[in-house]
Amino acid sequence: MEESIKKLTEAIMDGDDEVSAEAAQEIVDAKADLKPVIEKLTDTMRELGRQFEAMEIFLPEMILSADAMVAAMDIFGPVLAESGDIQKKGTVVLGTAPGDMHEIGKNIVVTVLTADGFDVVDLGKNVPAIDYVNKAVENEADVIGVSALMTTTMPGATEVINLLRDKDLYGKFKVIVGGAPTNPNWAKDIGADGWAESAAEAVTLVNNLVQK
Amino acid sequence: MEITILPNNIKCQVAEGTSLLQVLFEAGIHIDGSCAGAGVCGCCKIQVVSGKTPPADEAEKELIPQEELDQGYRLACRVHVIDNMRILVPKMKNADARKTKLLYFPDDFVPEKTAEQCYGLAFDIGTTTVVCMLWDMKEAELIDIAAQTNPQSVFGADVITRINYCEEKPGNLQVMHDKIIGCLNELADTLIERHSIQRDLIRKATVVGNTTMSHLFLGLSPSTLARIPFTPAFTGPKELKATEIGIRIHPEGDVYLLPNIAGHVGSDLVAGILTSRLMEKSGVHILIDLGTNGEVILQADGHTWACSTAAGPAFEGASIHHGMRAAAGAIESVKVIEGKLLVHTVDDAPARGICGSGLIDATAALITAGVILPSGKMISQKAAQQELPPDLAWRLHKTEDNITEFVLAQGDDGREIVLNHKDVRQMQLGKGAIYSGILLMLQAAGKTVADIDTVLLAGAFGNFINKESAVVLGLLPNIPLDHIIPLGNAAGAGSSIALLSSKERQYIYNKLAEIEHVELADCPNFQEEFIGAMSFPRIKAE
Repeated sequence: MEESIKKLTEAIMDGDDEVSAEAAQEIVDAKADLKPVIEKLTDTMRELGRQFEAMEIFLPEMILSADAMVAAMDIFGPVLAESGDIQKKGTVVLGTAPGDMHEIGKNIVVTVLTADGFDVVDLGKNVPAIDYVNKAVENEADVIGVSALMTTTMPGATEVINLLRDKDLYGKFKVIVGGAPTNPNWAKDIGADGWAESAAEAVTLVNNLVQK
Repeated sequence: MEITILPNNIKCQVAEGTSLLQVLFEAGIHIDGSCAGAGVCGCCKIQVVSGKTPPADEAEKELIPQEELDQGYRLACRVHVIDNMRILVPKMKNADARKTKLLYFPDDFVPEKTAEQCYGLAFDIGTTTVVCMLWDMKEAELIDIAAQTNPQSVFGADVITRINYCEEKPGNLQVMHDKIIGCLNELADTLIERHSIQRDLIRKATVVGNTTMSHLFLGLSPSTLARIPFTPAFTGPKELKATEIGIRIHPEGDVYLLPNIAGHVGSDLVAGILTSRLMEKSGVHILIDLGTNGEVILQADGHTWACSTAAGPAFEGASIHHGMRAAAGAIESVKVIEGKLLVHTVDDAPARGICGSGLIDATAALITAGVILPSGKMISQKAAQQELPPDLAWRLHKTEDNITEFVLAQGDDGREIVLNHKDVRQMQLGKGAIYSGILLMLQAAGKTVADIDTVLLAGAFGNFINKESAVVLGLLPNIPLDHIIPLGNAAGAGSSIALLSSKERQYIYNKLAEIEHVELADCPNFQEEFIGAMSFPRIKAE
């Protein structure tokens, strides 16, 4: 059992989704208690975040590791749902700002949130403000996330928040923003509920927001 | 006799007795402020690396210190060829000068000489540097070149920040427009005064630049260029009267703005197509302009595709910890030879930072030495102690913020100039953007890297990078190095070609419709290719 967990965390660190799925299956087949395994995965995710921050790993490794994490969660998911051990943490609607085509960062956030046990609705890139609102209502989302990689597309996030205000939905969903040119002061100014520097921080942020 | 001109390794065949200044002129290398060979200004100083020369004459002894004479320094105007030679042309004094030189023209270019004496100005509006070339239209001869930092730079270094500024409040667009027109006029005035030319005899001007610069030149809002689908307000050529646009030449003079291809593929690239004859080539050829928007144009079997890649400003030294422009003290080349690090700076001044060519060299050298792994990870200090030669090992350490850095040099103030892990990551983003652009263009054409006949480098930067380093880095495809050809200032040359020939102008206007623009972000496998291209290839340098 210990061996399979080690195999799993190593596969995630190495970004090998085949081995991580294999290890996850071994754990499920052994009918082990998944709770400590999931905790271990959270630690692994945190370690990846630390390494990314320290520049020891970069986007290619981050994406591969996140994929390996999702491969494992795909196997744990049904078992967890059945056992009722762990409830779904919440639903997040994510996309890149209107006019913005840069989605690599957003994709990583989608993956790590999924891996952390959230239901994530990925709206893709260049998403009109109204789509965030409609999809959030439709999916009874807890959090809306807008990513912007250009200073010229940052106002798209403001647009989403203003639209929520217009529709009297402001406060019903937590809004988070991020992307290279953004900063926490701007996030505060436009009335967002949170901002994160990195994907790993985004996971902590969303966890904190849904617990409130 | 064969003269090899370094650092660009240009070879020319010349007759015995030709002066080196003449050789440089014919090779298209414009050397600083000559006194037309009178041997009084001392500006055409070069270094003879190998080959017999006649002894230094009085003028040279007067102008060059003995110490430098001993090292082979000579005045190009005074040395007449008596042997095969290798000569080194010193680096330009500043970044502006660096961009103005190196105009190469295609062999088959035939200028249309005017019957009457008149002049023309060919402008190249770069985001950073604006260049003006003064031509004698009767003789079809380049008289002089002047350059200035783009005065719009105070409103932001890159096009996106300038577009933002234009949008901030009404009136800003006008400011940007006035700035650039003012700059063009100042450059024209400089050349008019310097050569005592009658203003009214300047009858023509051509302008090229990236699409944002073209918009600002015309005073058109560039807003749409900052958002998808990045549609420019115009693409076709503009032909204006000098008074209409405010360029102070003959009031009835014609001003031609070359057409652009797309929102981020501008008339500078169109000019590059003219210079390179890209669309006349058979086989598979790629024209690349390495810059913030690394444009890639592929010619394959008679079809042409164009795209722009978000390379970011890393290659220009921005977003790099110790990055700087290619001015005195910028590290411009880095090599590891027999376990020792050899660093060269512009003007041999004490190290102050790293410019684009130095970054590419440094990264490539550290990849080859095993300091940077193919994933882009820098090895640990412990691994460095065990695996690296002593002259490299001590240079690797971690900062208080836990960022690994590699010491390249020490400035005269004792400050260490480093390449850190973040810089390496920035390089990965930049080179990944350009290389994935190349791959996606090839895919659009149904070709692979193995099919490439030549890679042509437009933009001054292409002349200063070490081709081998660019290949080790995976910025350029791994093809034989002599198939990677720098074109010099291809935009400036193309602007000049369009100035000197209505036939060439018409040619490129007509060709424009044949170029297919590809929006990379719309390619389904864009992310996959981009991420894949971020790793460093495993190439063994010879």
